[in-house]
Amino acid sequence: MHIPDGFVSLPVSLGGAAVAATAVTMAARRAAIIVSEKVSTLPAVVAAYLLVGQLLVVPVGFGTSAHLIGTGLATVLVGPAVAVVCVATVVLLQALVFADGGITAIGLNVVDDGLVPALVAASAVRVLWPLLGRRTERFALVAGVGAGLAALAGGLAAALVLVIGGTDVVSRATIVSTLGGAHVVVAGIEAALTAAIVATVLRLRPDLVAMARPPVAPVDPVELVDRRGATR
Amino acid sequence: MSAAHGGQSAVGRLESPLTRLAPEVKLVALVTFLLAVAVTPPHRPWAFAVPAAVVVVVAVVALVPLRTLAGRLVFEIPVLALAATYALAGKGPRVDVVAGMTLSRPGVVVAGAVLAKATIGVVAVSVVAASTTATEMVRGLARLRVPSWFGDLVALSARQVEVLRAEAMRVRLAAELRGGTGRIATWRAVARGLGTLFVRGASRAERLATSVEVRGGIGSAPLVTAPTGASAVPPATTGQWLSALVPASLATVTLLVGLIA
Repeated sequence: MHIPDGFVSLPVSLGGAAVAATAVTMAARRAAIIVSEKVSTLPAVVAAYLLVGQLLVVPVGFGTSAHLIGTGLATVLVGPAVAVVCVATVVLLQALVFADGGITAIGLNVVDDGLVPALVAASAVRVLWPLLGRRTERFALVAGVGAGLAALAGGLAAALVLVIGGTDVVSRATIVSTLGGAHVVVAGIEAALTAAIVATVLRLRPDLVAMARPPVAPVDPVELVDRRGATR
Repeated sequence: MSAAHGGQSAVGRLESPLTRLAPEVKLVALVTFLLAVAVTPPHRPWAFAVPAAVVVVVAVVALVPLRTLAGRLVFEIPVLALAATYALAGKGPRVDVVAGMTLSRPGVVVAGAVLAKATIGVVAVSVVAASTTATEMVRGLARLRVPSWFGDLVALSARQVEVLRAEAMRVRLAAELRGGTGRIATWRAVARGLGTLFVRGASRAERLATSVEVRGGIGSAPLVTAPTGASAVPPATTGQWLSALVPASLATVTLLVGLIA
């Protein structure tokens, strides 16, 4: 859920903007977007893809509907650094062009919908996949679990932001349970959809799934010396 | 973005004083105005009447069609749900509204305030979005010293949304031709379609990167060309900057009066 204008106090909004700006710049540096601009076509396409995919609206109950964010999916497909930059682009475009999400809350929305879910999804995949033996056929399942946890974490982060910076008229338990409850449903749907989408992509173009690639093994300098003792 | 590629065309919209305003001025005015509204305390309901009036006046001046505004207000539905939570579950003295149902009085005050702020925000953003093309918006951001790599990313993304949407319709059509309309609604089909869409999008990104390299790298020519000539919007003048401060000043004055009175 994108936090609209007026729900959060000004200091928290500005703090969120500062955190978001720092995080996005660090992520862009890590993803080599700033350094070598030739790789910026993929983040743009992934951001556009998230925007198109978010047009899928899911009825959540209580008369409200939520739309999928897709940060977990993006993290699994292009890595957490690129995913953070993509979601920042998506949040900005949604706030400026579609009026979805407040302008003063842009930084907070980048943190809640981008930074937190990306980190959670990446950590979950990095922990769970080796437990399953790094088998490719198991990756879609791990991706789904990671995306579900990421969506839930994002919702809880939003609840935390509303508790810290919002009004104290409602008890904390109410906010956390309302937002958390709504996001449990969203998390379930995101998990299922992410698993299915990742399975499709793995079948068509497995090289496009960044987190499923085998890690580049560090070269052991000792191995560069062959039997006769000469360096290769 | 040119109209031929399906981008938002500057030709179709109504010309108003707002479309001739430089985009960076509109962005600064929007952000300062919303910041002032966000700081307005909730205890004085009339303090929201002034910013609301400002927004309505600007919307009228900008000749924004009512249908556009109404469409954007749909995004407010989750806001209503949260405001209702504040009103229903708030602490403090309760007020009897309808037989048996009570609302928390401070909860209602806060709910009204957040609804007012959110609605003012939505309408203000819609007015700016309706009078500014995406390309102008990116140039405005660039003139406001947003880093160029981010501005280029936003511009390219906005352009690719149209491309991907067309691609999504093609994928959906292909699925329909293969399986009949009944099959489309299942989640598996949706997921498969989205997976295919990602693969096509990523392939397109690779082709784009290659074409950029062939053309000489990203420094030689921008991926999204800005309009030049008659449709270009020149940089802002001092008069435009002064007019940009008017909405924010009105909102700030109201806020101060609300705090003092």
